[in-house]
Amino acid sequence: MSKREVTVTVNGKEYRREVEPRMLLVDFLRDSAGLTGTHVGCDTSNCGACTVLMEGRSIKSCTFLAVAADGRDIMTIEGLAQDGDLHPIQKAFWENHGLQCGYCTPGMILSTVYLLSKNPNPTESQIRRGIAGNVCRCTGYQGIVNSIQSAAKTK
Amino acid sequence: MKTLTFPREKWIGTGVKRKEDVRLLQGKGQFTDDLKIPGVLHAGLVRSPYAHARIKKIDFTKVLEVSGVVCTLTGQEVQELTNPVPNNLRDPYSGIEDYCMAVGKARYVGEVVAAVVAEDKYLAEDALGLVEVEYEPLEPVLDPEKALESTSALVHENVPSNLVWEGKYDYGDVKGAFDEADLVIKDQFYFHRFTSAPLENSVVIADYDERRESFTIWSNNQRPMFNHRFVMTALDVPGEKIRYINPDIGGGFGIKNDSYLYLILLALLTQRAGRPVKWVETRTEHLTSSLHGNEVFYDAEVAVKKDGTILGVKARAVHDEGAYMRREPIGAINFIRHATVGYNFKNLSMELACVATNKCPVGPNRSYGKMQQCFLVERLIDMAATRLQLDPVEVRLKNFVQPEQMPYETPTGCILDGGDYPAVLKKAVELIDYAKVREEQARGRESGKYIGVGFALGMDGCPVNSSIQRMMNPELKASGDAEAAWVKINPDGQIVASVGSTPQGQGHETVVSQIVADALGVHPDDVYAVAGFDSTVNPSCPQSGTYASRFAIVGVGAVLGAALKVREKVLQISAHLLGDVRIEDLELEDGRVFLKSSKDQGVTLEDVARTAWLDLANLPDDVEAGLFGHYVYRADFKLPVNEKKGNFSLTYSYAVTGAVVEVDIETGRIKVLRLVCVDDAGKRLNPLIVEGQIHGAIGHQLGAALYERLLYDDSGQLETSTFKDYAAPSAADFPKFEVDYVDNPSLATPWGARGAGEGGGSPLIVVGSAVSDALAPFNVEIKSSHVTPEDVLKQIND
Repeated sequence: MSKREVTVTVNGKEYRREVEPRMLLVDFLRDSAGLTGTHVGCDTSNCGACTVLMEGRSIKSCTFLAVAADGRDIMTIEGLAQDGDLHPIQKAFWENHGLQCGYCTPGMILSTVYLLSKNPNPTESQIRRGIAGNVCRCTGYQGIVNSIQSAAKTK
Repeated sequence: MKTLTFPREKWIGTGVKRKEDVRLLQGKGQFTDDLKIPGVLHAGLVRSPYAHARIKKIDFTKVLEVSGVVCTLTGQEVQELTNPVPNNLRDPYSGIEDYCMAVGKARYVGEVVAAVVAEDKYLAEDALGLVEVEYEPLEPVLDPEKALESTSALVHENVPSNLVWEGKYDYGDVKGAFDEADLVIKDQFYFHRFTSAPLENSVVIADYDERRESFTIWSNNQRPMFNHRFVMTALDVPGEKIRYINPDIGGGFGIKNDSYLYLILLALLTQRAGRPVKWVETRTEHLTSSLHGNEVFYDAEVAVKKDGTILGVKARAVHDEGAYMRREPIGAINFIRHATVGYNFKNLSMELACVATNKCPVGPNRSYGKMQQCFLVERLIDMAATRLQLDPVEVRLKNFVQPEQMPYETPTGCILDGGDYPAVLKKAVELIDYAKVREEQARGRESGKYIGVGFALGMDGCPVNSSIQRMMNPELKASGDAEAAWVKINPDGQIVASVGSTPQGQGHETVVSQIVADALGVHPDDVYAVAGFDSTVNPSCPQSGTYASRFAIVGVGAVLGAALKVREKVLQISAHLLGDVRIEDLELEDGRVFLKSSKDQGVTLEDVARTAWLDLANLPDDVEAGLFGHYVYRADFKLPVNEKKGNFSLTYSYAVTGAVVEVDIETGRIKVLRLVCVDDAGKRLNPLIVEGQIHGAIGHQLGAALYERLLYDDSGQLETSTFKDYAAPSAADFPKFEVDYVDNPSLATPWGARGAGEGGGSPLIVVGSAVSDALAPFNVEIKSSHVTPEDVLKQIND
């Protein structure tokens, strides 16, 4: 299959790669850029484990083509902590036991970043609806909702 | 048996923040699919589109024309290359053959029929579409009752019937109980098929080293050492030739216990390809063909007195087992560990029938057979209360095992390890404000608003005495349970601990650090707990792994035992270094060993470690060099009392869940308004982690009750094979859970913890209870573990 050159900025760093037009963004991130913090849980854009931010908006990278991200700015979980300091949302997840196996966590945190960027003071019901595109199978969501409430308070 | 006790309990029992979170929060977790193995190839699996079909021909001609395809494999080749994995059945059913691929015929939709290995996963996917399989569809066996008829097609033709295992278990005087009853309720119940669908699907990478004739298998299997015997039997290689590595695991809940067939399959593929091979399960593969929870059809009766006293229960339980028995009939026989839940009745009859069908095999799913038994008993109790016009809370209080009866022996020989069942229910009643909810219910009904409230008791026995196998097959001679650990202090003073568990989110690195910190008088941050599992690094035994909520007993025992060995040696060496003082005069605290009488006179752990490893001439003569403790903890289990009785768990976690629901009688929509859970996990080793586990168990069970089901159509196709159709719930589908505790330390171990992995609770059951209560004016009684708006409407309108 003929390849196309794409340049995607991920966490501030440019990645220029030759990719098949059918390559999914999540595979570009994981396999081409080597950033394995973005996960795949369902392949059908239901679970949100693959959530990343594109130009600040949350997208599900398992149903987004790498070629469509050409020239775009992507943030993955690896780009959140600065100089070794956890982001306040990461800290809130740590303090409020917002994760167990940690598989949904990167996507969940990036959805939270997006949610709080749009609505810095969400109600509990807004939080629950705001992360409804991210599935967690370990926590019953309670620790996650608590974490997001706590992060919103400290922001 | 040696009793292990904590020298202090400073860190154990506190909500230490989890160590593993730091990497997981930053996307630095390392899951199996994240590993970079040089030269790795990718496997794609061709799966049967038919529930039951003979495989006539597999043609790879077109596949092999694709550049980048490396090799292929068929079931016929698997049969030549491997032995079938042994099962637990009695003859002749032990002859049912279970290979890592369908051999001759496919027995459920999604069963692996062939494999293709290619240079990358896109190519492997392309190649799959080019494999031409010719099938001869056969009549699918889908209804377990019909499967028992002599005219039914056979799932396995080398055995006489689809009834692959059966057993009858009577306790007490069941006939007497039913003769004495004022009321007998007889009905049918259904425990539906669902799965816990961990967010990370199964992933296996295998690499064969031709020079050493050995395999390395990376996977997210929950218990590779437990499964080792199956893998080595199938591959017919000596055990030491297989190395298992588990990096981080993205959830398991039992479903990843039985993924061993993929370990075998990938071992064959790497051997054939001559390079490492990876396979990553898709969600659809996971839902169609990994493992489902036990699906059970009950014909049940309960005998009660007018005052609500439960006299006895009898039931016939038909298990729809799916196509292969894997570890079954353990799920069926596990009723024994939870037979009367926390109730006092003495008379019980269980007739079990395990039936092979053309569906996905079943196995552990958020416990193994526990929810089913609790569901049965709890629904019967609610129905008895309704028919007798008694309050279901009062009926439960009347029938509970009382705290003064502890330790209490159940009719099946299980020894309840303490606890206060009435107190737990009373607390749940208080938390939910029962009287007020009843008032709201009465007011609501006047205006056409239907609110219901219910309570249910759940129990979870942990860990498992493997002698339970003798209940289903006397030839199986295992008993007890064990776990292994080592603790060492390196020459630089660094404390390292390693255990045979394979956590999937349970935070063992944190809890291991807490245990060692208390055993060695240091801070948990001073302890490095080895992350993940590697059979060449971690200690293990054939029972090792993380399943059946066993860590709180056997994992803790192993780590504590190993740490105490090191402690003893630290004290021995310190006594010598301090000029032959007496060990009992020494204190170990804050990384120092010092004289109780004179704190200044002491040595640091670092001094001791340096001496132990490097300054060997300064060691006492009779002391082995180094500071290393290895311990294999044996749970205090006995052999069964007889062929039907025994204590098959050490701790019996329990919890009462209460729910308030509102049912819209126009649409049948069920809304859970409140969900409370009062849990008694004994001593909570890390309360933060335990609470998280309870939340998770509630979420999963509530999801199962209201949304999640694995539904087959008339041809045996799974209709719910994506997360969209399976309806894995989101945060928006749940209320806030209200969790509280009653703390009665377990009598089974000195540290008093019970297995807490499942939260002991019963939210799955309570939904039916609360919906039945809401719709009492319409005489609705929920008899299924899955409650849908359609069923509710149908019952209202009938």
